[in-house]
Order: sequence, then structure tokens, then C-alpha cells
Amino acid sequence: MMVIANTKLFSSQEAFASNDSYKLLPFNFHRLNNSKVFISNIAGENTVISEKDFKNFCDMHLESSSETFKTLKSKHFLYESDSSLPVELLALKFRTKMKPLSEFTGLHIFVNTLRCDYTCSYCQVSRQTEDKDLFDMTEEQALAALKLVFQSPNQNIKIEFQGGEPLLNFDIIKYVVIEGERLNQTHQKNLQFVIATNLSFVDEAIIDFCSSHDIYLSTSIDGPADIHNKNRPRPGKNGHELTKKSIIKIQEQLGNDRVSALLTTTAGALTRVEDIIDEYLDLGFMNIFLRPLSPYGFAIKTKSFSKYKASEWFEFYEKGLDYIIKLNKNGVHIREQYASLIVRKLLSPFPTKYVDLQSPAGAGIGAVVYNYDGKIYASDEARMLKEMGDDSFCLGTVFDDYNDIFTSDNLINALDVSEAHSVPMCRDCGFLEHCGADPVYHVATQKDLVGHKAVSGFCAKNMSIFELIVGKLNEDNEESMILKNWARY
Amino acid sequence: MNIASDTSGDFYLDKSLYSLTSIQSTIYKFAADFFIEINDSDKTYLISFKLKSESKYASDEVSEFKNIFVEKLLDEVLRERIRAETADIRQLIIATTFSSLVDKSNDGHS
Repeated sequence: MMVIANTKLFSSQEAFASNDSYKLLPFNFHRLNNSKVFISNIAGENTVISEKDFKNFCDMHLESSSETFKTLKSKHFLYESDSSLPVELLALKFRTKMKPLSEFTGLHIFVNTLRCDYTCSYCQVSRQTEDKDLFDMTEEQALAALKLVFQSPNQNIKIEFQGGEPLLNFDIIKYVVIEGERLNQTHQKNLQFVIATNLSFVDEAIIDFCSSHDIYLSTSIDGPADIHNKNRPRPGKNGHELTKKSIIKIQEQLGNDRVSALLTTTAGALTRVEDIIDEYLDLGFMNIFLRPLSPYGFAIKTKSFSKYKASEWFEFYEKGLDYIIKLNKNGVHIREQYASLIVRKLLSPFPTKYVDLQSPAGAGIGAVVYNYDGKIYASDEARMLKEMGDDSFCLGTVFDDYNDIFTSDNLINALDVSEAHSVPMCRDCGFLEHCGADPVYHVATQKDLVGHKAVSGFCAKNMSIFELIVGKLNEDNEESMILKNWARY
Repeated sequence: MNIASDTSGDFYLDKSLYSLTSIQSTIYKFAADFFIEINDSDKTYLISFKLKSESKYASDEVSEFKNIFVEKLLDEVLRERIRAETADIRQLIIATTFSSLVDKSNDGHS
């Protein structure tokens, strides 16, 4: 018979007894693909532990001398006595996490015209090309909207002009900026202006105005010229050339940080993520947001939205993120914006201003839209839904009373029923505290404010990205360090 | 487990082991891939399922569906247990979080 000297084949009986010295605090969990478990608590604190430790932890068998025990105790997943300290600390952290709710609406979107020179097949707002009088915001409407803006309790106010193409109604932009600055002499808020524009109509006068009033410009670049011009047709078929020329002009005259770009991913771009990222670098952008199409407007009418599956887009995203990380390893410090948002949510108690990943939803209370026709919508996507014939997120008009608008049944009901802590599947999800509720998306895709999460594209996309980012963050390597650095942004 | 075809079948779950809530939560999570029906049958629940045409599961995985289902179900049972065990302290945390926001200026005026 073989004798194994000094080897313990079995643990002692005590090792199988419950550890009565600790109690559980509330938490959610999500099993990862690598025999590890992601756990998070009400304050969003989180960690990844092995399945074995997770089982021992839940079965009250975790050794109090183990590193996992210390981590779970310090992050408030368990407590050892009847002390009220863990409750007070968790309450403090939860209150910090919820603080943005008390600040209320910070982003105010002015749709100053619905006219546009482009005819993009995926356009989410169903642009119009005719009749200035029907599709432009008036001074009277703009002033009424401005008065509502300054009633927001938020000290940090961003006014963003969107279209159509906002520069086609530049007179209203000038009016809102000048009148806004005048009103702000009384209100003393941190006021910032952004124009979301295709840059077709940028000239010296517009650049001078943006320079004088510290206005930022945000544009669209879908990739190299062949992808961009196919996605974003305009008369002359020179959209890419025009946009690139204007970006360079703005960077030279106002500075690199004054212009940014957004990407929309169409089916034709799915195999070109590296080319797209290289194009952003070529234009001097050190930040790219790898965005899928949204289920609104012409993206639905032209079936652009249904041309690829969430899984195909995720492959594109994963490949793109890997390429960006590889660039970073080689000293090119470009960031992927969605990953940055998620890293920040996972690693810090600080809120992000990204309204799609908030619960209660950011609709109305994070961002609000003053439409060209004087109507007010709970979000940019909500006014897109309106252009598809669904007015369910209309909160009133710019001439209504502030309190009536922001306590309207349309808003309160949407925020209430979609709140993720009480939604099937969300309430149990390990990523609950880092994800969001998006009632507008679910109305657009399932005709329901909550939506069935098992078939939700929003859930599928975010679940995949959370798993990807959590997996990368928890490796002990350079990749993890690169991602952790993005939490600063 | 009975396999009626390549795409459907049924199996029993012991009521003394699994709560209806846990079973229903599990069924919800499989909604993208399976039509699932639950029937009360004395000391057991009868779970009948049919693979959806757009499912990510292959038809040769259907014979394993009970195991796949129970694996997920056990997590639902665990979630239910954690929720029950931590319900009181969760209420206390939420009450403590928002107690400082309650307007106390009306105290004594009711």
C-alpha cells in the first residue's frame, strides 16, 4: 500500500461547519465564463471571486482569515457583528451613487431645425429637406425653452443644438447663445454650448462665433471616405471631404479639443473596425465611441437597423476594443468611450452623464429635448420615436409650466415602471447597479416601457460588454492597466 | 425527461426542492430560446418546452435541456435565499440612505 507521508487527504470536521461569525449583506451575482463569479452590491461596489469561494461565501463557510473574506468584508458583502457601521457606510455610498438624481436635468437639447442637406439611410430623426417655416424653431419658442432651462436645479447646464442640421438655422443658435449668456448673468450656472453638426456649412463667421462663446462642435465620421459617403449621402457625394476639411480648420483655429466625432456602425462597416479606428486617429481624435445603430427613424424605415444582429455588432466591438488596446500598448493613447464609461462605473463611485446607462432612466431627468415645433420630449430618442408617429414621451410644450412638464404622467410613469430594481431579470442581475433602464428603446423595439429582457437587444448588448470589460479588468496584465486608466475620463 | 421530438420535450421538478418563483424566474430567462409551459402536478411541476426556431441552442442540446434548466434554476434558488436572508438589512440600508432627505420641518404639526 502506498503511503503519502504528511499529506492531509481530508480537511478537519471544523472546516465543514458554518462560519457563524459573519452575515450576508444584500448582493447580486453573475457567473462569468471562466469559473469565476462577479458580485456587486447596492452601492455598485463589486469584485470577482472564484466559484469555489463564492459557494463557500454563500454557504457561510468562508474562512475569516482568507483574502476573499477580507475583500468581501471591506466591500460590504458581509459583516461580522451587530455593528451598525456596515449599514451606515453602505447607506452613505448608496446616497452618493444616487446624488445625480437630486441635481436633475443637465443636458438640454435644442432641435433648432429638422432640415438637413444629408439623406442618411439610418437617420434617426427623419430629417426634412423642405419648408423652412414648418421645420425651424422660432425665437419665441427658443426663449420660452431657455426660461425652462434655467429653472433646472442643476448647476452644470449643457445646451446642445441638434437637427436636422442645426447650422441651417444658425440665427436661432446665435439667439439662444447670446440670450442664454444674458440670462446666466443672473443664474450663474456653469453653462456650456455644443453644436452637433455635419460641418457642411461651417465658415469663418461661424468659427469666430464659436470661438467668442466657447462653443464645442460634435460631428459624425463613419470611417474612411468609402464607408462615410455611402452611409451619409449628400449632393456632390463629398461629405467625407467636406467634414474632414472643416475638422482640420476647427482644430487649427479653435484647438483639437473643440471638435469631436461620433460613429454610427452600419452593416457594411462591420468588417472594417480597424480602418475606422485608423481614420479617427488620422483625424486627430484620441477617443472613439463604437456605437451600434439605434432603432429609430429612417434606421427602421430603411431596415438599416435589422441588417445585423446584436451578436455581429458585438464581434465588431470586441475586435475594435482589442485593436485599441493594442494601439495603447504601442504608445497610441486612444480610448473607446463606451468601455471608458463602464470602467468608470465599475471602479469609481462617480456618476457618468451618459443617460442610457442610468436607472431611474435619464429620460427627462438627465436630458430633455426642446423640439423645433415647441414640443418637449423626454430624450433625444423620444423625439425620434415621435417622428415615427409615437408621441408617448411628449411632456408638453415650451410654453407650459416647469413643474407640470417635469411631473407629467408620461414622464413619471415611464421612469417608475422601468426602474431596473423592480424589473424582471434586471433586479437579479449582477450588473444591475452599473447598467440602466431604457424605456424609450423598449417602446421602440417591443412597444412596452419595460420590455422582455430575455429578448432585449439593449440587455444583450450591455450584458456582453459588461462580461467583456469585467473579464479584461480582472486579468493581471497590461491590458487591465490600460482599461483602469480610462476610469479617469 | 421525455423527448417528444428534436425540438421539444418535458420533465418533472420536485416541489419540495424548487419554489414556483424560482422556476418562473428561470423560465423567463429562457424566453429567447424556448417556449416553456409549467403545469401543477401533485408533488411535482411538469415543465414542457419547445425550441424556438431563432434559438441559439442546437437541436442536439434539447436532450440536455433539463440539466441546462436545473443549473440555472439552482442560481435562482440561491438568489431567492439571499433575498430572503438579507431583506431586513436591505430595508434598513435604504431607510438609512434616504432618512436624511426627509423633510423634518413638519414634525409636530400634523
